[in-house]
Amino acid sequence: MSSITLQNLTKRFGATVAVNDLSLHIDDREFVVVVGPTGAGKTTTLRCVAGLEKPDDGMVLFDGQDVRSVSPAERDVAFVFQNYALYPRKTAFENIAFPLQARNLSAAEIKAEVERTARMLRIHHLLDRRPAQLSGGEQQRVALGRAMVRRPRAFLMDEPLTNLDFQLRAQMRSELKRIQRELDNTFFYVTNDQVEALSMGDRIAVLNAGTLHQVGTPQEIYEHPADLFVAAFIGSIRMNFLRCAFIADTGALVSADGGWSLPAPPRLREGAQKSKDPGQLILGVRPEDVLLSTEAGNGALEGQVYVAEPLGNHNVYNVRIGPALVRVKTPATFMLDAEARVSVQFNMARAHLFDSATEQALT
Amino acid sequence: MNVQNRQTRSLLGRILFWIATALILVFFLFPIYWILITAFKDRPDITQLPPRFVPWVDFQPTTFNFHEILIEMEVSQFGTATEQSPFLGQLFNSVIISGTATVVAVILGTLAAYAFSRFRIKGEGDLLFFILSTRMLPPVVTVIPLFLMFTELGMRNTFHGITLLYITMGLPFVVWMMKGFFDEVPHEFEEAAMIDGYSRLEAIWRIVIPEVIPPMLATAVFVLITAWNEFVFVQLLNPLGYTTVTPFLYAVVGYGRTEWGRVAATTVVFVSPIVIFTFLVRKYLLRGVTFGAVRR
Repeated sequence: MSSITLQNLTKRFGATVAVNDLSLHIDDREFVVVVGPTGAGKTTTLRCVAGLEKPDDGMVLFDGQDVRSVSPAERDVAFVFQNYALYPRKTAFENIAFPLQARNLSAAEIKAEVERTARMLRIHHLLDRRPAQLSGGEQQRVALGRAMVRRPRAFLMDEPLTNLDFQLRAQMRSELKRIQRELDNTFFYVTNDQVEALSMGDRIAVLNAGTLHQVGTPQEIYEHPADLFVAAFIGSIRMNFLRCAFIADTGALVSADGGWSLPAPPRLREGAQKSKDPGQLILGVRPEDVLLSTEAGNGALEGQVYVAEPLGNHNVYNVRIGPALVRVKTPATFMLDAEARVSVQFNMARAHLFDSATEQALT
Repeated sequence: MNVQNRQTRSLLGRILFWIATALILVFFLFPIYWILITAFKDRPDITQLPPRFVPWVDFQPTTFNFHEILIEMEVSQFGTATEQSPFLGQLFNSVIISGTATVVAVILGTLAAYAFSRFRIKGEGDLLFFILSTRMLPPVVTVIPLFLMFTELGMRNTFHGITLLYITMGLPFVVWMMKGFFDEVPHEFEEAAMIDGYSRLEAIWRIVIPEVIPPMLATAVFVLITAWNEFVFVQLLNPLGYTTVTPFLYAVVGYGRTEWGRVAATTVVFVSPIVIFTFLVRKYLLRGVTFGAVRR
């Protein structure tokens, strides 16, 4: 049970900078999720914390103590690998017992601890099987058991759910959350799945190309993305980005091709004025903040349905507005044919403005 | 009807398969059989025409040749003078020299291979190529420089000299083979162990090595066979001390006439340990060779 601090962490592999000047603090007993696309440097960061990689620059601190010269074995953290890394020649019991054997416990103590852990993970009946005889979900639990059994100071998890099928992944998300509460320990969790990040993290850190883009609670990240990357990466259906210009005289946002003009509410107006070049802005609207209607409305834009995707509990429409394509999320009951003419309204109160040069959020 | 047809065809196929297998086996095993029976024939039987094939029917087997090479050997044409055979001593030399060389080469080579597989090493490709390049010259090319070096260092006719040479010959093979096998073992295995409280050496010993034991045994067999069969170096570097069996085989051919019986008996004794060892580890040999294909 420790806090973990990363100070200006940098790690290079040859000419590639895997992690670039990363600073992040994780409180004791906090669940922090680092999320980002493949190759963002998430795993490298985690490996630096575990001591499996040596940072080229910067420091890792546990409870404020520099652990630069501390070996992985002495760092007393647990690591769950994406491929679980279960020892193939050992049974589930022996796998879970292995960390305890390094600690000179008696056979009886080890047995008691392994069984306690197995009961918590509901794998008690699988203990005499080898990894090859276990399903993916069961292997996952054994790997968790091996991490949990010795009560480490922190849990490091490297995409532990990625290799599970969709349904199992959803189930394990809530299970992991429960385990974290029960263990009352620090969790440093890495994933490329933004759903996992939003649903499990106390706080989320968004990483891309080795650079930290934003840190915040799931709500902050979703409601107030700091830049274009975060806005695009977080959210099940990608945010719509529309090139536009702010006309100070009329207080309106005009699309880059001049096809539409919308009055900007005060929040967006203030944001636009912060930009060095208000003529080159990007309007960001989430698909659920776009309203479709078959009747022409006041101030609505004209569009035409391009592709319709019924998804059971909701529908996604790709709607053409001039040359732009806008994704719209609607209730499942709202049915439209392809090619249907629609009027489109943006919920400007929840829209975002970005500077197209710096890619930073202005609102 | 159709079913019956298919059955007959498969029966015919099986008969053909067994005939083919038998023919191939005869082709490969006959020389071994021939050496074996020659070893148990006395001098007149060996050169008989037509040849004698079946013991106890065609000829009376005898242990005369084994007595000659193992205990004492006739040195005159008329069987009047004998001298003690050096064979057993040389066989013992073969065992300890190639055994030591194999064990040391496999241990050192495995450690090097692990480093090549797991760590980022500057000039890794060049180093690996250099290691392999030591095996690119035929022995005749290196034997004279080695002879001069061994003379200078006083390593001719010594145990450590020839053993070191065999280790050097075995190492490149072990490094290359074992690197390939370590590459197949996910590095997360020992990393998990290291995080679980073990040092890297403990992690290698307890988690990684058990994964590569079969291919390691296969590699060891190949190194052992190379050292066991080596002739040129030992003939030139160790004629007077720590000579192995291969020069004996050369010497036993005899002057003036070829002592086929001794040659055959020597060959039988010389080949047996390797055959037995290979037979014992055959299961691992096959798995070692097909390591990558079997595991995933």
